[in-house]
Amino acid sequence: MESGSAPDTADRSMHSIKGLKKRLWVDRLATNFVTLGGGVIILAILAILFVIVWEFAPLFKSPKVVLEGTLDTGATRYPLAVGMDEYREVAYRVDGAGIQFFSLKTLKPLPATPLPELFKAGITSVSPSEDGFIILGLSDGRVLPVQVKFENIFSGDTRTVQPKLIPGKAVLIREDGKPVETLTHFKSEEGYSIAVKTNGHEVAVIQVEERRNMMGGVTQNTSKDIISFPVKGEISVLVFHTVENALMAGTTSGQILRADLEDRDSPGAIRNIGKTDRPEVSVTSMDFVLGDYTLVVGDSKGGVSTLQWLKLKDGKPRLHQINNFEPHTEPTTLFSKSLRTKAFLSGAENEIRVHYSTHGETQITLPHPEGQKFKAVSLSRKGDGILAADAHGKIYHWTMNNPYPQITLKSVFGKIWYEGYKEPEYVWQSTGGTDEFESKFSLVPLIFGTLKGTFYAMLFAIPIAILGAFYTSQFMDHRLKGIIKPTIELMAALPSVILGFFAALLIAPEVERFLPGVIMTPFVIAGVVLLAALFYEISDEFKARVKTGREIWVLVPLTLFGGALSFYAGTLVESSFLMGDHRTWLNEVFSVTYDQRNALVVGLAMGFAVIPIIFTITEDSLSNVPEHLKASSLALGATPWQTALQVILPTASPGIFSAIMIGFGRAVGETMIVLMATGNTPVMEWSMFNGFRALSANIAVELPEAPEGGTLFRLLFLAAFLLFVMTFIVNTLAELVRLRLRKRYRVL
Amino acid sequence: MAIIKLRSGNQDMENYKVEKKVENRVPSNEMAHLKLKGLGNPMVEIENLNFFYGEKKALNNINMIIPKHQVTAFIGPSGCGKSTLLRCLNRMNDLVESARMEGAIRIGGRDLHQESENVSVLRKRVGMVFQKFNPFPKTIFENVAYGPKIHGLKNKAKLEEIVENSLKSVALWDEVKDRLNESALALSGGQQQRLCIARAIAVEPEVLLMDEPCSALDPLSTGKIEELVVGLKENYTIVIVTHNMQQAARIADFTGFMLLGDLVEFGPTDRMFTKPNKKETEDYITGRFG
Ligand SMILES: Nc1ncnc2c1ncn2[C@@H]1O[C@H](COP(=O)(O)OP(=O)(O)O)[C@@H](O)[C@H]1O
Ligand SMILES: [Mg+2]
Repeated sequence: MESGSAPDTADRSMHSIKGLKKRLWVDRLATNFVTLGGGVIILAILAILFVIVWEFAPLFKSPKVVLEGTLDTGATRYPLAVGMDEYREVAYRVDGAGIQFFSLKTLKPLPATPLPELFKAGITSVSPSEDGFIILGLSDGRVLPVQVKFENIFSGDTRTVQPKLIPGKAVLIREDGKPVETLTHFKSEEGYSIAVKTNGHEVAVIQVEERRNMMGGVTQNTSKDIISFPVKGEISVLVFHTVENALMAGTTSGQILRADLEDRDSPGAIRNIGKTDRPEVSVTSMDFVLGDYTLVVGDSKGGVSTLQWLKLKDGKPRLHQINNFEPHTEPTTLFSKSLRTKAFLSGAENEIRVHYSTHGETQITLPHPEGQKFKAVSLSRKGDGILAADAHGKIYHWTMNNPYPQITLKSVFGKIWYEGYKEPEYVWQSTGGTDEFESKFSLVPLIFGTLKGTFYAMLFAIPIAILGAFYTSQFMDHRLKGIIKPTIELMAALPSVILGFFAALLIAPEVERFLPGVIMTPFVIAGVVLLAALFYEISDEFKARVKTGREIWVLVPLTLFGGALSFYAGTLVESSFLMGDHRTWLNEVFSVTYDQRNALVVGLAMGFAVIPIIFTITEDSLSNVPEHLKASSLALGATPWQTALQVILPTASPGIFSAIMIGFGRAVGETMIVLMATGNTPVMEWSMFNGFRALSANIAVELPEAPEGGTLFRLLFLAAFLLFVMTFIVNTLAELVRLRLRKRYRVL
Repeated sequence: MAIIKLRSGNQDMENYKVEKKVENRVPSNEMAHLKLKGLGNPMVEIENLNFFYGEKKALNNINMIIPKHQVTAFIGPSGCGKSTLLRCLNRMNDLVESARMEGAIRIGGRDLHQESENVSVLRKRVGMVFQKFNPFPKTIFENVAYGPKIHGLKNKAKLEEIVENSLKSVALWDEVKDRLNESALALSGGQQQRLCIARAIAVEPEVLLMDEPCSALDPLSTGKIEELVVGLKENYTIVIVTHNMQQAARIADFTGFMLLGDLVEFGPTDRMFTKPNKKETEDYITGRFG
């Protein structure tokens, strides 16, 4: 017996130790598995966040400039202008003797290109242009248009740039034969115009029309005009304002004058239109940035500012100061502009700066590397390189890496005075009709749109969901609750695209048709229900018939009746008080326009999408309030209503708060409904009759138009990041408040 | 037999029946004895009480008188219907959907179901303390002031006075007077239960029902509550359910022994514990049962 029982005990204890080990092992495995799962999720979210940040971060990188090469031309004369080809392989330098090409790769001069049209004259001034069509002012009073052309020659895989000069026909402008010193020009489809200062206050304007005839030759038609400006001091710079067909002149006394070329004889066609920021300071450079809307004025004290010719309140066009840039320490004499963006370059003899006109920030400052004097500058066509020639025959070539010059924190989040606008505004308008379009990348209207949509959705959803949950959990008959609750939970599974589709195609037109009725509905229903409640209180028979928990059988028909009543009343109201059509009435009385797809419709549809979540979580947290709390309140003689309001509601408040916040998060991120049920116009108005554009919908709308790596592409990532941050902030706040509430209403 | 539904309809008729029944009632000898001795100044009168949870009968023809300003204890094995009986007295059983009651209960001479529309007033008269101490997740002050407030008292000074008096009568005032605005949930278990008693007496009930108020407490706290109960009977009629016979012996003036829905025996505690009339009582008390 003994020998039999001993191994048995040992065996059993072994067995139990084994079992214990196994259980511990399983336990540890499970723990590790859960930890691993959580870790992987956190990692995945962090990875997504990282990718998002990685994609938009380049937008805010500060620009990089590298001195690519220095070229000693050996020339002794001052440069009058410089320029380069699109690929920054060949540069040219204009001085008194002519035009010389250099290779920017080898830093050597290229074969000379003589200009026989000069005859014996020297070049005294140049009206430069980044597109290569330049006008030379000559010492004998003539001007000579020259097209600097860069031909790309492909031999096999290699491309060489072949520069070429195509001189036009010289025109004698200063009949006195004095050298041409101040001139400007512009080129159009039909030909070109040149303006030359002929004396202190007079300007000769030459218009050359070119017509190709059938033989392939070109006939030129030249007309000449003299414009006399009422100048204080002397004209110092000239520029054509092509979009207005006007000529502008800056003077040594700080005036800016304008001559209307269209209607020259009308009174006020030629007049003083403004001053620089510092009167009595000579205007030393003046030109337009791309698009010919924004005028850049540089003065002899180094000031740089942008102005716009705008019609403001009184309807009279005037020159308005837009931005002031950090001034140079020496007179601002140099200017060049990008032909791709609104970037421009201003220069004094000692330094060059690159600015961006849209947001008014200076992005790069380049002092002369050897402390000498800059005499001519050029920004490359793509805005990715700078060429500067100094007084000592040297040419400096910088490469500039600033792929997103338009994006700064200010241009994304601040108010910007865009071209043609009456004041600084938040605008999102990513693409326009032309290349010269100033894109407007403010994310503020989109953030606004997201908040607006969320606001209206919550306005609709919170009362319905919470009151519904309150009734369901506290008063509704248990069997009925067993049906209602899963049904509402099922609603959450409805794909939002279907809701959006319904909202756009069914709700929106009906809401438009019955607008007064729709607006009145909540009030009418509330009124009808209150009346019924009053009736319930005074009528014992009614009271006996409607049992607690079964009020819904009365309430549902009542609600439907209230809805129908308010729609019917709405049409009456519309025909008798709203001039028969609420849209005209809204427009005339409140000057509000009614968009068919508007915030009201989104509020309804998106509200519908968030109601199930808010309802379910609220209902759960109300039902989870311990029965004993309810019992002790009732035992003190509290009515069920008092108990619900004063005990159940506060105790469930953390859960209700979470419910609202989760609904809020859902509404913030919701895409399909806002995409389909609004017009997606990024306007910033709180009116519920206007549409809006939400961050999420914006991503969906613009993604097909955003080339990879482009500004818009990266901005969409920024929008995604903002969405992420918004939901993160909402959730964190929600969690913090919820924890505090829970601590306060903790139940043992 | 009178049948009174919980949400009764035709009251006059039923009351008539009840009255009639009362006349036909044959009080037990014990009752007559009590009444003669003047001890039985009745606060609660229970007559022919039957109680059902759905089909299940939980109380079987209970007849008893609970005397005023005395402590009455119900003892008996668990599941015998002590709580059910207690909960009949403040109609907390109304909350159970399938519950049904027959018979009559009068408190202070008024039939419970006469004021059927106003359970609220009844529950103000008949307070209750639960087995699981359950203060609201509010401040100590708010807990005690809750009852007076829901019954319409708004005067701040008056509320403060009530809170102070109620806390004093449960001997909690000195312990909490400096932290009236802190959460009641920070108190210890014994303190919480005393707070619940204070909360119940803040509405000045006539009867105080206590359902195993000490079952979740340590002996020290239990001692305090027992002391309290004895002290409170001066002002309140106390009905206490306990599964602890020593406790009944210590604090109750009268004890009822219940078994399977029957009130087996009811009488002065001394006699019940020393000279029980029924065999079942004796078995239970001596521990031969349950
Ligand atoms: N809410 C209820 N629904 C159905 N049956 C109940 C309910 N409460 C108690 N009972 C039943 O009634 C009987 C008496 O219960 P109870 O009064 O709680 O007993 P005690 O308090 O003496 O332990 C028990 O059999 C119990 O199962
Ligand atoms: Mg019990």
